[in-house]
Amino acid sequence: MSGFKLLSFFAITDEEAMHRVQLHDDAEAFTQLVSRWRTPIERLCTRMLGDSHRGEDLAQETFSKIYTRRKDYRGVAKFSTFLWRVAVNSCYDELRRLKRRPESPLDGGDDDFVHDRFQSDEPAPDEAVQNDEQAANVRNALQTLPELYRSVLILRHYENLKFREIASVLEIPEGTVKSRMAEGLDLLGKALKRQNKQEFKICKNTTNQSIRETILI
Amino acid sequence: MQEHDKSIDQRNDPDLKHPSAEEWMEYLYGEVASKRRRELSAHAKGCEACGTKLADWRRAKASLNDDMIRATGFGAIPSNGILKWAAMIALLVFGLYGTAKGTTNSRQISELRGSVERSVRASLEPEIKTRIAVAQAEAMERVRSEVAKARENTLAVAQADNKQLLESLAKITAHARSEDREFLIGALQQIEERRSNELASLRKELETVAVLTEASLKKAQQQIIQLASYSDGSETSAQQ
Repeated sequence: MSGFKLLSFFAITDEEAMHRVQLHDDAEAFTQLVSRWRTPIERLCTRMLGDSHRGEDLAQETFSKIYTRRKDYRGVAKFSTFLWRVAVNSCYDELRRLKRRPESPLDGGDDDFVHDRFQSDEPAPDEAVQNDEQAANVRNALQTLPELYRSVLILRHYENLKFREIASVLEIPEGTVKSRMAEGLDLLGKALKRQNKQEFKICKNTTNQSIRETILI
Repeated sequence: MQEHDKSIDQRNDPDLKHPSAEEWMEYLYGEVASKRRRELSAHAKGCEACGTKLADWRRAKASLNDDMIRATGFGAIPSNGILKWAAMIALLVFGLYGTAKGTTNSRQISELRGSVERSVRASLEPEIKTRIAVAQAEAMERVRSEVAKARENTLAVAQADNKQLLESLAKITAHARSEDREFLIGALQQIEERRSNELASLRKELETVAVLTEASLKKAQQQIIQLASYSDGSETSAQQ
């Protein structure tokens, strides 16, 4: 019986599953929703916070909130919209909380944080490492963006939500989503340029130092 | 003067009304109808200002892709993460269910336990399935490579065997051929010996024949001489 019930879950929609959770506190339906949406929500939270452990914790918190607020969900809306909204708001809350605590590496001197992350990566002429570095560069640049831009960029670019969907997730007009997207891309471009300059400076300094050392020898 | 300025403006901006940043975003992320898309492309080509902005946005968009390559690794759940999730669900559903009902009797508890077990199982199932699939694929791959190796080995051994067999065959054939030759030579020698023996005996016989012929010739000569002397005597006596 339970096996049959489990199988039947593959056919039900998110909305049906959520309805079962609302009406019957159905653990299996809830599990189904978690297993379907765990990875994208974790990805979103990790990108929003720039930290995979915090991202995982926050994703769990998001699903806890979904369960406790299950009565708030109205059947007319798409379940995913409700879920994304709870997740993004959880990220905003967490980022606000982290900003209030000065010992957090996410707080304040973003540039220093970025800089440290750069240096910790050992330079190697390996392509994989280079790819890692590029990915880290982008991730760090994304962290320098205000959250309102970051969420739009992540939802549109990485999670492939349409501008209209993002508008209903964030409960703002569609035009605002698009203008934030444009602004976000501008800021990202600038942040990456800044990082490149910084990298160049570090390179120049090390080169100068090695030249000086060579002369001394 | 004013007219001149206007004409320059028109040359630089083929479409005087620049599309908004919002519209460029739609364009960049393919959320625009194909007709408008063509118009926007044409505008970006003709208008330097919009072209530059679009190029900047494109570059920023492309840089976001740098992180996409490793999307599977980035933020991936650690291997023990799944248990944490199962525990989270169990606690959540179990805990809240209990408080919602207020009073719990043993039947409810066993029901709860069942549902928690099922939810844990359901959340673990896909993970376990994928792990099993991965393990199976690995095992299959290993078996395949072992089989391939074994096949190669067998092939090599078979080839070596074949080579050896061919070699011994060649040896045997060579041996047989040399034996044949020797036999042939022997036979030929025998034939030659016999023929020379025959020739020798033939010559001996011929010699005997020759000797005998000579002797009989001599005898015949003597007889002729005798005969001649007889006839000479009778002639003289007759003359007398």
